[in-house]
Amino acid sequence: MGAHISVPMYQRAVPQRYRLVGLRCRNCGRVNFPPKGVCRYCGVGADFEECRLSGRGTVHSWTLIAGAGAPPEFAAEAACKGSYPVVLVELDEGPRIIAQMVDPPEEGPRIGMRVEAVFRRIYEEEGVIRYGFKFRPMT
Amino acid sequence: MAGRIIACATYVPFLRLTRAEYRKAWGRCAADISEKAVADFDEDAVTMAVEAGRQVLALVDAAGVRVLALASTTLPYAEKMAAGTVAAALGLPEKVTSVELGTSARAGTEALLSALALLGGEEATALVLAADCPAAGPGEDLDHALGAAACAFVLAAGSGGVEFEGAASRVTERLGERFVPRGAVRIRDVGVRTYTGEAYAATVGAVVRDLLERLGRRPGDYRYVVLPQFDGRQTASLGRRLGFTSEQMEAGLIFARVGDTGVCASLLGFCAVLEQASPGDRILVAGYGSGCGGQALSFVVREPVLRPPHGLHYWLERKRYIDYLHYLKLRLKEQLL
Repeated sequence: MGAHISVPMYQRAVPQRYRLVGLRCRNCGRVNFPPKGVCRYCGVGADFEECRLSGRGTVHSWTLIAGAGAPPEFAAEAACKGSYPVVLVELDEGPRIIAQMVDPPEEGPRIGMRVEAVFRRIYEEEGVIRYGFKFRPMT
Repeated sequence: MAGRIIACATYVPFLRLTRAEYRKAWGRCAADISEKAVADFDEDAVTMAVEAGRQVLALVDAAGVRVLALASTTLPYAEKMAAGTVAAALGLPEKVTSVELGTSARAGTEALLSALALLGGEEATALVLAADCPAAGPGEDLDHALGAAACAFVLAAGSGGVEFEGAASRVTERLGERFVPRGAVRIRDVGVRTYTGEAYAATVGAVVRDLLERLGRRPGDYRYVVLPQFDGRQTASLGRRLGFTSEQMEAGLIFARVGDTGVCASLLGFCAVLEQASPGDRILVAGYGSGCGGQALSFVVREPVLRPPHGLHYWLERKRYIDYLHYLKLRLKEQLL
């Protein structure tokens, strides 16, 4: 069973999933993404301003999901593509986030590779298409 | 109806299928493509529209967009606003006046005309997004040409930029030519190419002549002419019959490298032309929708459009070839889900 995310939960996350809206802590100035109630960096700041992240970052680590390794909501995609890379990206604004990589080079992702966020279908559940971000190599 | 184009951008998916793959799989390729663009598993008209939209919104302020016209025959839901998804992804103001067009491939030029009309004389900008990834049954000849792409235009009122000069439009009844029954996702037709080719040539030919007459122009007055491209030979032959030279036509001929891109079938070529046009150049762009209707629009370049760092050439060269089996899995995606 995959990690079920209800439609209302997904709905609340639309700004962050669709256009990478994060929260800048007014106490320490660092950017929280995904948004948090209390700043994960200074541990005290709870006053934030919204900021839109650039979507650009660097591959910090990566792995390849192949064969039956994909969660059920990604099984069809894995079957179709054979395998797909998942990357841990350090965004230029600081946060590290995990997402799929699209249009990977033939030789696969590389640590240190520059990537940019793109808007893609993540999966479909209850007939509802869940859109969000993935990363693509920058050129 | 005055207005001008101030920016444009394109997007072509990464995956390509060549003519040779069709020959290997089916013994022949029914379309005169060398290769065509294929939307990946996680792409659809909405994601491609966002790709093109993000590029133009890096050039103009999203907060100033008052009108959004979205054109596609392959929006992912039969009912549910797609403009809202796109607007949320692009960070457009919720107060934007949005329209969605897409019961034929003509929706591309319809979106340009709708946006110009909705903008009126307002000091604001309109965003036009056209994106399509049409599909037919894998066993159908129709499928061989079908590609995928997106384009984005930013329009503004007033003069300067690439000024809109006028348009001609026609619509009439034509049965059996390229249709998708309600509830279905795949294109069908009656399979008689001479019949559908004749409808295309008669209708597009008529609106182009209407436009020339209305504006008092001759074919030679245009530096660039972009006719809708659902087939390479059909487009070239119609251009010749209308009195246009290959010099006027070639910059906008994209079909052989991406295939039939539905609502982008002339707008992608239009973007290619806008990227290289110089002040003083006149551009004629036509749209066609099966069943059937045509539109022809005339523009004059006063100043070059704003362009993102990656032009159409970049997207055409950025690619990975897939084999026919991979393509078939993408076409049968609904059965895999």
